[in-house]
Amino acid sequence: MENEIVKRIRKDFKKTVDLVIKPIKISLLDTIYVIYLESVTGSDKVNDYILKNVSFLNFLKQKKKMDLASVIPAPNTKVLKNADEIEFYLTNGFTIVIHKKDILALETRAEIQRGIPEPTTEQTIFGPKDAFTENIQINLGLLKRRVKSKDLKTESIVLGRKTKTMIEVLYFEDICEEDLVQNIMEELNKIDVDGILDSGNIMEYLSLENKTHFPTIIKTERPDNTAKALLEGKVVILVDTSPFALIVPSFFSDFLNPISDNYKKSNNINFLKILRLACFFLTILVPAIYIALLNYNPETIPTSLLINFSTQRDSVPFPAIVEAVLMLFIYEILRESDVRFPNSYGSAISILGALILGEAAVTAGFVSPIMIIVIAFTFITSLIFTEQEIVNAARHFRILFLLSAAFYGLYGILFMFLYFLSHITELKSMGKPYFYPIAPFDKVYLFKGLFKRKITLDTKRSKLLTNKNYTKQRRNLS
Amino acid sequence: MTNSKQIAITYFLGRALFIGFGFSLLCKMLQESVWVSALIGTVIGFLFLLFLQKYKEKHHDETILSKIAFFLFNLFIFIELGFILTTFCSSFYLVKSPTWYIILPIPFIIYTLTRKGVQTVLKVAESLFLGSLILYVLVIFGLFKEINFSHFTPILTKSLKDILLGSCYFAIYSITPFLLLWKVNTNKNLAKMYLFSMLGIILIAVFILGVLGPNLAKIYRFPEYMTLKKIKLFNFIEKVENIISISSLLDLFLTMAICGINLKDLLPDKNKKIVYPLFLGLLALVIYYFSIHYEKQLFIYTYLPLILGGGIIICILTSLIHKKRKH
Amino acid sequence: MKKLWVIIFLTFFLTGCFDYQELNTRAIISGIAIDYENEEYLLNLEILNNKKSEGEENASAKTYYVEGTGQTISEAFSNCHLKIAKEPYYAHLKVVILSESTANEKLKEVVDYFIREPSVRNIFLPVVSKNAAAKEILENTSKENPVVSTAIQNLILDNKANDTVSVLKDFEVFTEELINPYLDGYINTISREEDTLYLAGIAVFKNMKLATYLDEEETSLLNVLKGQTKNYVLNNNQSDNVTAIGLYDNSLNLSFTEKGLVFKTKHQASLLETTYSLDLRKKESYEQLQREFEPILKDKIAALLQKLVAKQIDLLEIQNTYYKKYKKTLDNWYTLKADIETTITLNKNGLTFEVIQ
Repeated sequence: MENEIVKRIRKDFKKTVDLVIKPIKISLLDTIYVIYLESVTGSDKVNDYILKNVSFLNFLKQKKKMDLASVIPAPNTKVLKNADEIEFYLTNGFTIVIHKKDILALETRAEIQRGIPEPTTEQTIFGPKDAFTENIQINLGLLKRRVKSKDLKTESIVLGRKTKTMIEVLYFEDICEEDLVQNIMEELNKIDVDGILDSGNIMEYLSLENKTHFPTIIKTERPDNTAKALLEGKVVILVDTSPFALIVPSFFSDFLNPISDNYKKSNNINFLKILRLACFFLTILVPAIYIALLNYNPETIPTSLLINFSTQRDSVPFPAIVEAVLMLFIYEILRESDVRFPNSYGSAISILGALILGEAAVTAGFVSPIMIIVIAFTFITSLIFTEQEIVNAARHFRILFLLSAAFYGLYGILFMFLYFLSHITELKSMGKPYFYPIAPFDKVYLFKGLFKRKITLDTKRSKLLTNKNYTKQRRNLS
Repeated sequence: MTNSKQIAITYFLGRALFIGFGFSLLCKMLQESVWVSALIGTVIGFLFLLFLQKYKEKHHDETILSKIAFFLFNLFIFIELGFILTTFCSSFYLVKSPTWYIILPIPFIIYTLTRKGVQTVLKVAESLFLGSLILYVLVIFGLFKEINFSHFTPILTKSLKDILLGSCYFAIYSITPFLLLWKVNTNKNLAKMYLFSMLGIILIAVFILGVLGPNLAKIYRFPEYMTLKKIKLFNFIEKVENIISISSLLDLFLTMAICGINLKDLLPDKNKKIVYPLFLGLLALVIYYFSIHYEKQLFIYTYLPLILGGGIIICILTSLIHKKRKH
Repeated sequence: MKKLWVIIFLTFFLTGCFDYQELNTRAIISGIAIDYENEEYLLNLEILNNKKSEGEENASAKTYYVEGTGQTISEAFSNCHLKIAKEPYYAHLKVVILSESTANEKLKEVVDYFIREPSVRNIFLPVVSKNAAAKEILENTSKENPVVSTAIQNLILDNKANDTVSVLKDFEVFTEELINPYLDGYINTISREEDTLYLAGIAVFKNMKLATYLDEEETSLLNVLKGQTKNYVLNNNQSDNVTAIGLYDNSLNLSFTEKGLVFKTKHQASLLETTYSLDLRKKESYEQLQREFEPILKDKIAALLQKLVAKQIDLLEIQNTYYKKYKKTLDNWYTLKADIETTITLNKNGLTFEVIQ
């Protein structure tokens, strides 16, 4: 005599150990079924909201139709139309209350997450220190604490057949352009996959228009970064169970500088910004320029230094290019191992690395000291960037430049540079050009992205991102 | 196109044909009066560009004859520039490498630059513009001390006829790449930006004359490269002419890319993805043929301005014929 | 499909790179000495050594020498190259030493070879060796100067005391002077005395041949007239009192009148030493000294001019100045009468106003 819906649930969730089905009799023929999954619901919430009140109903014996939804005091109630939706709500921590043919879903989610942590990848000394967590409601809350406006709109979509991940797309209605949002929703709707585990998967789906090593979408775990992007007219995508939010569209200059620059004086910070841009090109070009100058055009190097280099290189059996590739390979291994090993192994690994690449290698006649300096410099300049994908893209181009310099010298560096530029200017981030402030040249965004202007002069948004709302600051000169 | 793209591409286009052949011929013809005919040539070029812009606005039709003339013109300039590039590289950068080795990457680079139309070339020019200007300013600072002002006097040693002929040659060298922008929507400020680009060339001519002197500039094959050998900055940066003349190779590559786009548009539409790379490979073979036969190089060295001038006139005339027939 | 194209493209490079050359396979040549004897060139190359020096004894073995002969310069160079174990590399060439016989008979061939050769950068310093063979000068190493070409370069460039006797001119400027029909070229000479090298004046060329030498005194005066020196000492020890002034800022103005040439020289001077009892607070002392030194300087300039006119050497750019002004050639400049007017302005006197009595 059980309810058909309950029978169906028992059949669907057959080998599930945490399923709890509690029938409550309110009269002789009337039974209310309370169904929940123990692992994702908080049992005290189930107790407080539902069981106490439903058991109380036991004594009322009311014959007319009960409006369960208004009797049970749970904050988030949904009336389900058919039994297919039960799976989604049950797995999301909702409690299902079934009374004859009425199905009610009440939110009683358990708090299975950490507290609000500090950011691990984008640390800053002077600035806010909260970061996103894995719960999408908390992330939304962190964002709305900073952006308290009714113009912030959300579009949501559920992706992944088995994971049923909730994805929310946020934008400012009066700043952002509608076709950008529509484009994004179209792309998201095309995804039909088993599971979405992290925002990284969504990032790959949205950047399918390019075949490149460069990242075209920013992944950030700082709420102030996302709030700033929203104010510029960009679109933010939050993914459940992922502590990283996506910002679309992103340009090349956004990857180079961290967000904490905005909280410092513009005069001091412009020097560091120029330094970072120079470091990006240095980390790609330095090994190639060294090989090209040393082996094709040694006249540029002063004579006394040249004799020193020549004496050092005399003891090494490999040609310079083989040495360079070998050292780059060893450094990549060292960097990967540095990411993986746990902190408790301590200083033994760093001592080993220094031994391999320090005195021992040079004394054994394996590499020359100048090559170690060049490669170490390359790696130090690449450690400046917080975004890991940029470093990976730089590594790809570094090898290409090195090979073309080995075959053709300075001429080779020139035509590889032309290839690099034509590649990077053809990239698009959701339809907008990637190398944006430099080519096509835009003075407003150049001073926002690559350099920093004095704060009273930073009054307009960029024309590429918004057509509606240009001015963001008015200042009365008295 | 926007102002910033226009000025970047104008700067590179105006300088393209001067390297390798332009300066050497002009320095031989007019020894001390190079800069005078450079100034007059700029004025002639400016007026011609104004006329060309007005003509382009009114005239839009094309016949098969004008298409063929334009195709041949582009072909000639492409081969010419490839030849200059090869000669320059094999004289200074890759001295012992065979010519086919130097020509090998050229079709690949032109293909990647022209794959998606003219906007890629314009954006690349825009990104390179600032760096090129900075290198140029460094050159000016480095060479300024080495100028010997007694090399400039006496002015006007050559007859007026020689100076005018020299300025016509100068104008032809600088105007020809702008004719390649026929199919592209150009800005109305093209002529003013041309003046800016020519300012750079006039300064180079002045420096060649001031640093080397008229006697030495006459005998060298690449006087602009020899001038750069004398750069000395802060008393310790010397011998950097290798790195600085890389920027002059950029002009050549970008102009060749624009030629390539024009050629690509004029090829038949079927199977363009296969025909276009093969066509570029064929052009590379033609460049190789020219590079190994020395006598053809000498012929082109002396008569290049006349050939280019004739080409310009033919292109304009063929487009004029259609207009006359219509009326 | 794309990967196949890349693989085919890469097979072109299996034959090896053509210009790629390891640094330790290049022999860096720092100095060249060219002798010409018995109708044959004798070429000496000074090559920098890149072996590690172990211990004190071998510390000075920083260069080694290679010799070669030939009927023409190109043959001599290829003969030398046969004896070097590495690829010769000329871009760091600092000095080329020509012997007297080379400068006299074979200057044209030498200049043509070096100007045409692309691997040699023409900013090296040419010198002529006087009273010694070029080879002896190049092989004159010592513990303080293990590399001779750097020592010669330092002598000419960096030694400030030699500022009066040295002429700073690289090979390209020298070639331009030789080509110019209105100029005569001149370069430094180096001499050797008991294992030390010193600058010994200049060698002057006319019509691509060695015409004459000017010794140290005359070279200093020439530098003064061209405005290229900053400390020329002028003595006056004819009377009992010894005075010396130093000329530091000099200029020459040449003009052409119906009578002939007029040389107007202006000099700024500083008082170096004196034993006159002068009070340098008064204007008359300065005028007295100026009046004393002007005739001395004028005599010296007249003596130099006489020597130049006798050999018809145009070191003061007389023909060049005339051509630049009037666009005509002045053929008989050496027959014209020369009028010299010198003006010395004494405006520095050191730290003291009065003289030690």
